[in-house]
Amino acid sequence: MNLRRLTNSVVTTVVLLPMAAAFARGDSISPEDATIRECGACHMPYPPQVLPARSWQALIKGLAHHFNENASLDAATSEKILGYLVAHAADAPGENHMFMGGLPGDATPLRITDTPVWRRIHGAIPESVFANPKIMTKANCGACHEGADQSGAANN
Amino acid sequence: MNQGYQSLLRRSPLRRLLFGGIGLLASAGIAVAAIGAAQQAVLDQYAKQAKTEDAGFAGFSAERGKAFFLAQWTTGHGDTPSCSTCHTTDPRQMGRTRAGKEINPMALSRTPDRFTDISKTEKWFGRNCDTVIGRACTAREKGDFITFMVGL
Repeated sequence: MNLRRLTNSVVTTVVLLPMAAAFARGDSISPEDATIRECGACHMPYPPQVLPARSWQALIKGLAHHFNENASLDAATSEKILGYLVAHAADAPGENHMFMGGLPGDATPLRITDTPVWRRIHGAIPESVFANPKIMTKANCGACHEGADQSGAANN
Repeated sequence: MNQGYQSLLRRSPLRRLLFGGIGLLASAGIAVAAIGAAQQAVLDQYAKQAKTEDAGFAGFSAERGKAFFLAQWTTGHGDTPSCSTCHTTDPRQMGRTRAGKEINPMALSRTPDRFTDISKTEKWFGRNCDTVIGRACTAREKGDFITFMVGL
């Protein structure tokens, strides 16, 4: 390798790649991508249409105690994600309202499995199916719904 | 050779980083060859903090980091009493979150870009120390943890 190629590769590795990584991490990320990245770090990033806006507000407000785990985010990131979730929630204008079906007006479900629609669709499935090691939890939608989770392994 | 690159290389911070990094790797030998300049910077920052937290601080320990990683706590949020609950007892293996999501290994030999970003590192120590132990980790605990992962 001659000196110019060596220098080029060093500049790319030491200067340009970290700059690109910093850019990718920064505020330039879209609300949808931020949601997929942050929520998808621990679980399948559930689509916003499965819960009403009031549920997303309660979930994001309570991230420090998120199903017995601290999932805190900085204020700017949680605002950005909440904006996306509320704009596309089950009760947002122009979205699919299927998950509002049968949901009492005063109910604020924090789990998708607590919605009447999820229960109606999955109610006949025995608990033993969900306990299968390949499924492990009802939160693992992708185990049965192929393609539901495309966010990959968590690098957290 | 491109003049821009030449002048860039002449500027001392980049030059120091480049040749300092090569020197560090050469002197450190194979055992810690996986650690990069960014990870060293994270460790240096924790070492500085550890000295202010404890005047008797005398460096990080992979052995203490291992014991910390495997420890079972009763003071956390309850469902995850140990680092190993999700990361398994061998950090070279894939882990799994309670929600069923795979976690890339913590060991640097398997996931080389671990601990290169101090804000990401702080974010996850901040969350997981509270979840598992019920308090913030000390700088020494964080440095021990990383030192254990670097050597694996």
